[in-house]
Amino acid sequence: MNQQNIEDLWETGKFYFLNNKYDEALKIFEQLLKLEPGNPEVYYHIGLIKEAKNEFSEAKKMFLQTLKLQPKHKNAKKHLNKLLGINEEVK
Amino acid sequence: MSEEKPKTFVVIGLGVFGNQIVRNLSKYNVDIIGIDKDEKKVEEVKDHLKIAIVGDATDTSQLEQAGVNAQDVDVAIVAIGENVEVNVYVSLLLKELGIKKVFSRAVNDQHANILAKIGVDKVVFPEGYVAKHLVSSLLSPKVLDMFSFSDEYSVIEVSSPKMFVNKMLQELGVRTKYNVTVIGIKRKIPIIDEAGETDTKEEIIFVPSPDEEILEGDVLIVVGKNQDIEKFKKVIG
Repeated sequence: MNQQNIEDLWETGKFYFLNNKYDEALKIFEQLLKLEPGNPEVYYHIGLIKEAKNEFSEAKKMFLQTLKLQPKHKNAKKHLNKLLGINEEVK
Repeated sequence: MSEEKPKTFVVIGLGVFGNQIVRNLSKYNVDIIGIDKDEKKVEEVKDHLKIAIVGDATDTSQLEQAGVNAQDVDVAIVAIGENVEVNVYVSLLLKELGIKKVFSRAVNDQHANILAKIGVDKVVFPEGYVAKHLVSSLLSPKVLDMFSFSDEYSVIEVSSPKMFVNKMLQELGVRTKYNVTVIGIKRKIPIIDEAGETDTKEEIIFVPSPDEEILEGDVLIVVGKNQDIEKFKKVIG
């Protein structure tokens, strides 16, 4: 798969997510996970989808993995703190 | 006439509980005086305090120096947990100083009874509260939060079950079937934030109309009598 196809997958995944099509978005991001296993953004987006579906324990795993790959990922930290009930402002 | 909103608070004891009280209060544009014997604990929240005191709250002169008096302080919160005697003594001292409202933390029932007898305005029992919530969420995974606002009534937040998704409230007949009322819906809205990043924001629909459709991931805020809430919790799994 070339770079253009990967970018198309990203656009499609985000499009589905922004339109509340969580299951469709998840399928796309799971494909991206296979193609870009070291990309923290893929884990972050899967985390957002899981959180939106109220699958909190899976969402936490994804945000933790995002932070493992990119420790300063502000949004992943914000969502993880919220799920863990930590009342800490993310700067 | 409605009661005036409290503006100045003193928090005595800045351990985990006191620390969280200060952090939460500081979001409401109020003045906070914080007192603890431990300098490190004061340091942790000093940015949220109008007056930060490293000192002994059992010493009346130190309290007075910090501005703790009936004219200037509206509410005192005694958050000391590790020493019951000091907690009771300070609570009594604050009542004697004439502070309008004294809220004190209790660590067990006996402690709570003593605080009630010395006339504190509210006894808070954080460990008991947290334990009740934790057990509830462990036994009913779909229940995200709950609180009782009387002996008879409770409010719960529940993750919408699959059987509710894509159905309108009137179609579900929650009130007629389960004798509970959906007073709000928390909904996560996917967005692109100012930095161009994908994110979500939460929207709350208060008193939803009967034709409001439940979406996947919605959290329902439900109120009802305790026995009806329990029945509803069983239905949703």
